[in-house]
Amino acid sequence: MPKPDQEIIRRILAGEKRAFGELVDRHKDKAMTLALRMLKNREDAEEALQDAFVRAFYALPRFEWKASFSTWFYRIVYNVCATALGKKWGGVHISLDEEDEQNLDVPSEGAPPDVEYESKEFQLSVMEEVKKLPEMYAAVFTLFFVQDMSYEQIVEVTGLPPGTVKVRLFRARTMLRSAVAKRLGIRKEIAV
Amino acid sequence: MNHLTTKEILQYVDGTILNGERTRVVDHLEVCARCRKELEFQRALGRIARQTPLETASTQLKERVMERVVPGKQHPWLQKVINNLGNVLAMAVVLGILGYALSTPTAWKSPEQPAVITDVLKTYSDLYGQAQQYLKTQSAKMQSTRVSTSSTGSERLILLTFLSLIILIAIDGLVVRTIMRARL
Repeated sequence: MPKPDQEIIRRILAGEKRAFGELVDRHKDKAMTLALRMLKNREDAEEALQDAFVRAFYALPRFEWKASFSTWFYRIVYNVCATALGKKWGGVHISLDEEDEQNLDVPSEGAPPDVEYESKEFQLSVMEEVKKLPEMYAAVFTLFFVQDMSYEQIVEVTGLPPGTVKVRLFRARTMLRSAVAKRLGIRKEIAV
Repeated sequence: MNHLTTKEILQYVDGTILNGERTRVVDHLEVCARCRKELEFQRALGRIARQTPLETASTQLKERVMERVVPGKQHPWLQKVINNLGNVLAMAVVLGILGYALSTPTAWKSPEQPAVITDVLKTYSDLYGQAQQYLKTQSAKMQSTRVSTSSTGSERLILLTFLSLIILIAIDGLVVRTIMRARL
């Protein structure tokens, strides 16, 4: 049975610094998924992740025991990646805070294609299109689906207003829906 | 018939739809095949998104993180030597070949060799001869004052190779430490 994160943190704070390696092992792949979806480049993602782990280590004495380590840690990963993205885009901060939740009340576009949901083709299409989601939507999407976080946890991690989180997640899902439907629709047309 | 909005369908999928709305959505789904199909599509998308395999961080990530948070524990001197074994072996081979060429002049004296290489090797040989002569002179001087063992060319070669390896490892260690500090 895996040891809870907080027990490992207690050992680290008690002086057993090498126990931090256990935290790295427990979280590196999920954190890598978030970093890679945001930065779209493995080298940049690894560098950001390394930086995030080191920051987390030195910030451990300030860790709030009420919070879960994963929420606390993914906030660091998210901030490091957001900073890296800001640098990549020449310091331009892209804000979608003006996005209105009312805009979500739109009818679904067209009927979905006839596909076998258990088919490899469908699964592969979804997995590939998930990776193509734009950075700002990919973060929220990954936190929701991969880290299995609630809206409240995503707000805590990203520091974004709740409305923005909802809008970004909604847009990410509609983008994914359109991309997969288009991809499978086109394939069906070619097959015919 | 007005179809359900994407927001309503996603809220229904997530289980976050308000109770008052829920009844209306359920009633609509019972009579609308298109919205039922859309609901199944969104459910399938969410299910596969959750099943998407995680990205794997490189095996060196943990090592690099630990080197930064617990410095000096990850690379004992033996590990450094092992890490640099490639460099060490390459240097040993180079020194071995050079030493063999210089200590056995017949090995490279061949009439078929191009003139430039022959000239270069001859120059090296001359320099080596001069160095040997100088060492012999110094050795003779030292022998006059104390008893010493005569060192042969091969012994000197082994000594030089050994010294080169130590210098190489030291420089390598220095470079690694400088890079680590720069990264911090």
